[in-house]
Amino acid sequence: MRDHPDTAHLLAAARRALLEQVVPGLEGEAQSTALMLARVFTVLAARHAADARARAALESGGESEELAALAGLLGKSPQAARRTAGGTDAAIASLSRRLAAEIRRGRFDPPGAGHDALLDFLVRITRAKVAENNPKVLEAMELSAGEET
Amino acid sequence: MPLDPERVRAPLERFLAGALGREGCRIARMARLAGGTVQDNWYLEVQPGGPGAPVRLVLRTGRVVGTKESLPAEQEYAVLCAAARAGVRVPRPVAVCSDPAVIGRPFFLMDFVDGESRPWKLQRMPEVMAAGDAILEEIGAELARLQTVTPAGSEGLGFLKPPRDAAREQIADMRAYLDGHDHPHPAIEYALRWLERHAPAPGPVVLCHGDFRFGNVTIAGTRLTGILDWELTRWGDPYESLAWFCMRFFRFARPDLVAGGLGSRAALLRGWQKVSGRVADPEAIRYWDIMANTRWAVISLQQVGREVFGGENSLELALVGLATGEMELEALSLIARATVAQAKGRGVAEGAP
Repeated sequence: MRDHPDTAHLLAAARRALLEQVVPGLEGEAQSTALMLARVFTVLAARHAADARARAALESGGESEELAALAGLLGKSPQAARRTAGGTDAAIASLSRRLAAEIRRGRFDPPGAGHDALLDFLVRITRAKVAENNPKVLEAMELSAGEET
Repeated sequence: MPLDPERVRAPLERFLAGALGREGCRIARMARLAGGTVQDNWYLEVQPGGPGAPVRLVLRTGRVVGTKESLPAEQEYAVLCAAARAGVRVPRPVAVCSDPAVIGRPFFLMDFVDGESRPWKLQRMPEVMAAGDAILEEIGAELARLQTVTPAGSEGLGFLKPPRDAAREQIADMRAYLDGHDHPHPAIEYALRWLERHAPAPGPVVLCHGDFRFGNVTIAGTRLTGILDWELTRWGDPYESLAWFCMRFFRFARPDLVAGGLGSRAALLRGWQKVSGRVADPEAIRYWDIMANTRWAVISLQQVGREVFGGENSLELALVGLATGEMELEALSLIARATVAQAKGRGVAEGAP
């Protein structure tokens, strides 16, 4: 068992120190680089939290949501996919590749339940990515959902 | 590697004397300009021999080896000249040099244009934001002028190959890139499939800046003073740039202002329509909005690719990769909206309520 601080605390403290103690003393290119580093800490913290949640779900006997959804879209069993690929991440990669190829081939073209389930899945995984990488953008997008383009 | 000003001073001063037709040119100041992960830009203050005010120029050169899409200096110079001939507000092209003996690589010179181009600075200037729509009308008008350059009427642009079908060729290029990529991208594939199924019939192509957006225009006071960065120029559909300028990613701190985070799309279109005499087709705009986001999503993957293989500003390039999802999500939501709009359009056509 690791001692304190845990990863989340460490990342938060590093980010705070950077923003409060380093950034104000810098200018120009050095300051933008420091701000980019602060952003990296934010992303690492979000990824760390997401990985911890996924691990907890798997340990409590749950199935990876992404794997289950992918398998559902392709009419496959998630367990079999995991066995064939040799792990959850590898199965997700392999089914995603398959899904990408099926989309290109037009399997999800016809309007209806299959298409809607696909779109729903794509929006969900993409939103999760944006939530990790840039939560502010997600908020702004949500606010403007009905905007005139 | 960036240039070393001291090492290039003497040969560059000789070149400047010839280019400006003035004896005894001295470089009074040479300073690197911020921005650009592909190009290296230098501000030059040149004092010609004898009386006269100093000449302010920008020297532009490829930083390392350009990316596949970016034009080498000589070609970018030719494009800048074509835009200037068409009456587009650009920095006046001054001279081009292909001789590697001068600074070690090809470069060109243009007039220095007064103004600010960095979006985060401009968005903090109340007078600029208050004049946003008026500036956008100017930008739209300049775009229409640029679009008078066509493959048939152009001189010296033979190195740009006109596409037979602008939309379908871009889709094919993006798919080819994804096929060589180690990660699958189902959301991008979905957008590409939609773009393929809704592709417009091929139409005439026009000169297309390739990165026509806020950040590549200079504004002084409340006036547009120039359109910059022509390294990605190619032939394309007239609507491509109207969509590119409005991409969410390039609205910076003002995502609520659709056209570049500066103002309304209506203003951009007003300027474009006034000069082109065309009426913008909303369906074409919706299509190219989706294309723009999909394309920028794929380019962001390519930029990370550049970072993975090393190079300068690698943190900056790595962070571009964090944005791929933003463009994917925007493309998905635009497709959903386009589907609703089409259904409504059909409803009207069939006389439904």
